[in-house]
Amino acid sequence: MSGEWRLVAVGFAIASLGAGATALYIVGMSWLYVGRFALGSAALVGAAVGAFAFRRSLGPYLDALDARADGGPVQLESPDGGNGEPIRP
Amino acid sequence: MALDFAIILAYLALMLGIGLYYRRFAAKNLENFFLAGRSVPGWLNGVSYSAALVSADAASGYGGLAAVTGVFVCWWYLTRFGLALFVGAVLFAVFWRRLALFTSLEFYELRFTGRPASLLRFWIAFRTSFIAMPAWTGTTLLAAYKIMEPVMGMGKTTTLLWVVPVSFLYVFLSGYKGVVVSNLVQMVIFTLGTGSVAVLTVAHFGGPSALAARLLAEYGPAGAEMLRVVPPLRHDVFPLAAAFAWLVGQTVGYGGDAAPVGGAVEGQRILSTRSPREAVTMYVVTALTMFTFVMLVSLPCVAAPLLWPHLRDPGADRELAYGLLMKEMLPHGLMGLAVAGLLAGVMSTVSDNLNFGGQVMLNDLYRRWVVPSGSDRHYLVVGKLCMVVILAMALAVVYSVHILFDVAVFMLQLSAAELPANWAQWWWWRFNGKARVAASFGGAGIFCLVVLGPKLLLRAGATWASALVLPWWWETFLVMGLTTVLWVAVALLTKPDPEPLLDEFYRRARPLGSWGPVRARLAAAGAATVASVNGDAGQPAREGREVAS
Repeated sequence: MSGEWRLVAVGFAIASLGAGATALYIVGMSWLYVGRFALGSAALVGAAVGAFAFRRSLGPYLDALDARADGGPVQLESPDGGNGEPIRP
Repeated sequence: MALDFAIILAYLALMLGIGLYYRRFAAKNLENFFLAGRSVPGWLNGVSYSAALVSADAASGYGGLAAVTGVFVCWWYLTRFGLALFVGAVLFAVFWRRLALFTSLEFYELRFTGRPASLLRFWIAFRTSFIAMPAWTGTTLLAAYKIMEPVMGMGKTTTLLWVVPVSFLYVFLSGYKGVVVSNLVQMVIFTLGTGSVAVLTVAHFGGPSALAARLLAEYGPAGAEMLRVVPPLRHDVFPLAAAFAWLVGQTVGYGGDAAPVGGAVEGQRILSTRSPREAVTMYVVTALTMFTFVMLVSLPCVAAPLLWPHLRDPGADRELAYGLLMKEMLPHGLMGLAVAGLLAGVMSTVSDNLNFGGQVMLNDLYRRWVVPSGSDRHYLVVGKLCMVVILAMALAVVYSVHILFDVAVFMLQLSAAELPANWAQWWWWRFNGKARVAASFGGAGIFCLVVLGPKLLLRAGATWASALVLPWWWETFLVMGLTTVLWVAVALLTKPDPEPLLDEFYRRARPLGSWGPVRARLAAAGAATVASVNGDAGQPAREGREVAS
């Protein structure tokens, strides 16, 4: 996969992470509303973890898009926050 | 009752005050009036976008759905907008904001050329300002009446007299800045009002566990189904396949469109933020706040059939569920707050639609085709007149001009066919104006053939055509697939758009995807320019490095 399309794929992965965290938040609140307290709490913890991971991965991704627009080689960190290999659009 | 009216009056006075406060800022120039000087923080635009999307019709619509489905109604909106909004945030917001357009419809004449470009811009501007905005504004006003009639005993005209003058005045005076600030106040009131209904409803049944026990006791297996959080495989209203169809049908293409029929104000939200990153924040905050608002109005309605069992009967007007709950649960004072909250939802949608519709009518129709070089003052006056026109058409919808609404819904269905093309126009250099026209208008033709054709044959007495009538989710996939084949074929069989146009678009937006030939051309041009300046053919240019690296 070329660097350009890899950026698209990573973007989809980050978007899925954010959407998943949001869905867990809504599902967790819904469970709490009908008395499923253990399941609701677990879903809310999952939502918090997902939101944290989304936030950690979004920043480097946007940095990569900025670097690409400025003309430098794109350093894209992996979604878990580790150092990724440079992407050359 | 007097306390309720006092709270509602105080709310209306606050809205007028906001309008008056921002009137000087708005009157300075067009960018201030329609884009708040491009200075809106992302989070505020996100709340404002939620306010535009969530209105009294969400309370009646989603509340009614919750009454006949259950807790799993959440997937109705999560699958429709969840992944879609995050795709818009991560993959498109930055690129749209980089273009720094005045309206998102200008995109078409930046990305394409010739007649296809001007035709698309004209058609979408016309569709937005003369059909979609009046239709959605009119239905929002009708939803306000549906809430106010059972709760406060107000007729249609009385409801309009409470809602329309204030909504119009503050957007007329303060423009987009007043809209976003008032949206924030409106959503705080909306949350307090709807939150009160949610809490008092569950308290009425003795708490969450007691509510679940009552549902199980009254409805047995159907009650257990109402408590599920995942849609069942088989369900009359919302089976799992429908959730999957929403997910695919709404997410594919999302973010790449300039002005979808149902959510046209999105471009204004992106272009008015302070920076590209703030545009990303806008989407994320929109997702979080919008889902919270919809959850607040839908969850209590899961309990509504316990009090009014007929709501689950086939043919019953289930959309009354939320209004009935409000009347049953809320004491005076809180009732005023809840009504003010719903009015806030209505007014935010009305003001947003008027401001955005006015902007499009002014910029993409009047300024583009009638008076291209007027003064800012001239355009400000015309822009405000455009809002008057849209409001008048919306009122016509309220008073039984249903054709506009029917046309808007029909076009919303038609537009689903073209969705995958919205991504292609950003991610594939070879996608040209003719392919875009094929997607927009050919897709509509395919929709008519696949969806309407079998139904028309059945009406004409051809019983064999019943085998061609598919569930709506399969129709969605089929129409999108056939339309994609069409525009890919058109793109490959016709000439690409001119190189200078593609080069300029790439320079401005730096889009992702397949732009290899454009990047290579720009790299070569950059290297040649530097070589000629330096007299050294071996010296790489900065522009060359930019685009070739």
